[in-house]
Amino acid sequence: MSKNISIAIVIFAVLIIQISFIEPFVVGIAPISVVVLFLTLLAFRLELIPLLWWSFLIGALHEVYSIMPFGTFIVITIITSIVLYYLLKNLLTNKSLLPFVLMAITGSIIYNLLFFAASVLFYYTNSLTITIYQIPHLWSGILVQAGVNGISALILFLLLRTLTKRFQNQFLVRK
Amino acid sequence: MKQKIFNIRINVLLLILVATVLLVFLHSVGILRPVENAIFYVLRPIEKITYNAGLRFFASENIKSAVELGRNNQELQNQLSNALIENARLHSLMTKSEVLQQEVEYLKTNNYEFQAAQIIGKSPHPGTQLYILDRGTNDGIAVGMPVVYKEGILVGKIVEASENDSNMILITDSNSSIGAYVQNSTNSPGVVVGKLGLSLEMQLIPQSEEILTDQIVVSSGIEENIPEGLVIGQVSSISNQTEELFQTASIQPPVTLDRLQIVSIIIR
Repeated sequence: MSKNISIAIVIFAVLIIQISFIEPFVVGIAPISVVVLFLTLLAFRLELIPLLWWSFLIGALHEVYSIMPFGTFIVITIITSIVLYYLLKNLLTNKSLLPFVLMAITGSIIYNLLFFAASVLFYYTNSLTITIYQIPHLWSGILVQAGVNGISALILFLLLRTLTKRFQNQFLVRK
Repeated sequence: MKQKIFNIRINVLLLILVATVLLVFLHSVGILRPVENAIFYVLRPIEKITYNAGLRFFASENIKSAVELGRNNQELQNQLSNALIENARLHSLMTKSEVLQQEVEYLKTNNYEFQAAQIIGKSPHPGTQLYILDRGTNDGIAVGMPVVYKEGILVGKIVEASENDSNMILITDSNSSIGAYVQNSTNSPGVVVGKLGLSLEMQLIPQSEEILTDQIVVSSGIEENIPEGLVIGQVSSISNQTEELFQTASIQPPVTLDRLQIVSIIIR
């Protein structure tokens, strides 16, 4: 129970940091997405079912601040989580540093591409009064975010490994 | 013996799908609105603190003391009127135009009603310059109202308003277009549009109009809610190729638009 409350509090904190601390001061794609970083962490730590529920909550909270049709962020977040989860289970297969960094980079790219695809879709279906698919420096922005997220994942990994005992047994250790 | 029809993962996926559809439905009929407002209301103080921290972190040079901000808020209405009058006075000194003298008179006699608001975040859409304000319909805010900064500088307009919050689109956003004119001898008309959140451009200026750099561009008052004379920026460069029907001019806003904190919404 306390674990769930902790995750919920962190989700709120992550959302606030993204919306009130990072996004307002950038034009175009933010150089870092703490939401994706947190999704990566969840995909790394949790099994699919709790991961999906937490992703659902993250997406639903995003909807409060979104002007896109309700449900868009829920779908984007859940799809990103599923991709990350199956990437870890089927391709990266172990819970060490490299998979974590790669997941953060991939998650960032997928999340932004899904958002861009949704924006274009809504533009062509006239679902929005505001055009939001004209993103300045879209591709370079995605690459920058992926890179910064990768570096942040590296720092987060090392930090968690230092601070959390529970985390250490999940990483490959050279013997 | 019971037979499993679906894998448990498929069941959960279906359950989440149903929950999503249910949320979409509840949102569309408005049942979710109190919950959304409650979330927003609870998070608002934390968002204010976080936004201010971000402002200090990313744009510390723009921060004023709390005392100064409070004083600015209280005197905003006077400041706006004075600034506009000053703008018009400076302009009239340049052009000696009687029309602008009338504008001064107009501005003197107009008392705008304001609602001060703080920016607390930005909508999570990379392609837009949509900022979240901590004032909503409960404070008299409605869609289309202009948002001004400090000394009567037009920075955006309201595009969405809920009970406790509203969304302001910056004038630099690609979706923004505002009827404007250059303060010169002929009041050259045009439309100021945003360029991908990065800059401003005044378009549809007739080729016959003579505009110069550093001239001030103000709102023309064509839109229903946006009064005439709000400062948009200064002409920084002009493109008047003869084969084109219209001239275009780059406009330099007087403030850094993505570093704002306290703004005012003109209610009437």
